[in-house]
Amino acid sequence: MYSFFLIHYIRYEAAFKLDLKTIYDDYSKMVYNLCLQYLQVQEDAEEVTQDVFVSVYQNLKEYRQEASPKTWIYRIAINKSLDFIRARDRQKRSVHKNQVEITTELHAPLSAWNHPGVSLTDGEELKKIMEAIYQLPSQQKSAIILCRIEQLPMKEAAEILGVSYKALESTLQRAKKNLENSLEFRRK
Amino acid sequence: MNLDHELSKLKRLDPPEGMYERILDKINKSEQSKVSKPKKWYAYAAAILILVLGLDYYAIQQYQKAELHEDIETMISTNTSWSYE
Repeated sequence: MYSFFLIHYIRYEAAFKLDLKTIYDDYSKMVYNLCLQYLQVQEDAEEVTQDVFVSVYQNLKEYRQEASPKTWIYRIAINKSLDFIRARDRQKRSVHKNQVEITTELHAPLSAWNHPGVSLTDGEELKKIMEAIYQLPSQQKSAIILCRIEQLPMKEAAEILGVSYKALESTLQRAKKNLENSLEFRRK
Repeated sequence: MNLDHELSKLKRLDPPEGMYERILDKINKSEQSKVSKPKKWYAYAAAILILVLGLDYYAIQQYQKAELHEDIETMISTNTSWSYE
């Protein structure tokens, strides 16, 4: 009797792990590149990609197909990336609080910048753009990444971000303007 | 500068080798930590239960002793005559 339940339990667990493998094969590239665009440090992107799939596995049982799997996974990846950036900023701030005399650079953007997708090209301009994107507010950053880098249709991007089409349009406009200002400022 | 043109140069990469195995490791670790938590609660619950039963047993013992003592006292006070006879 016990072995009957055990076999079913193992089968049940194995089914989820099998599902995870399929999901990983289908979406790992998408998640990894999305995390790279947000975090712009290879090691951090790897870390967050792993966390995304752990979260997918843990929530697979509760996943009700209200949104498509792609939208659901995009949302998890965006939330995890933004959480990681917030934690990174907090850590940076606390370090700076303790080292006010040592460092004068209070808003260092990314000391360990390491985006392999940019490094493989010879675009210095691209690096500046990516650094400027990193410094945008979260919602604007997401709008630029989803619509301009991932090149998702506006409707899909709006669904992922949980905003209306119009709201996304105006966020995107603001993001572009801020990005242009920031790049102009960097050139001066 | 054309933003879209510059962004189109961005290379898309495959996740590094061994990433899936690392994910499975993380899942296993998080599941192990989930298992150890209920074990702790079982231990606390068992300790509290033993304590409550112990106190209960002690209280019953005390009560029975007191009752017996009272019975003997009542017996002595009411039947003093036969005890001497």
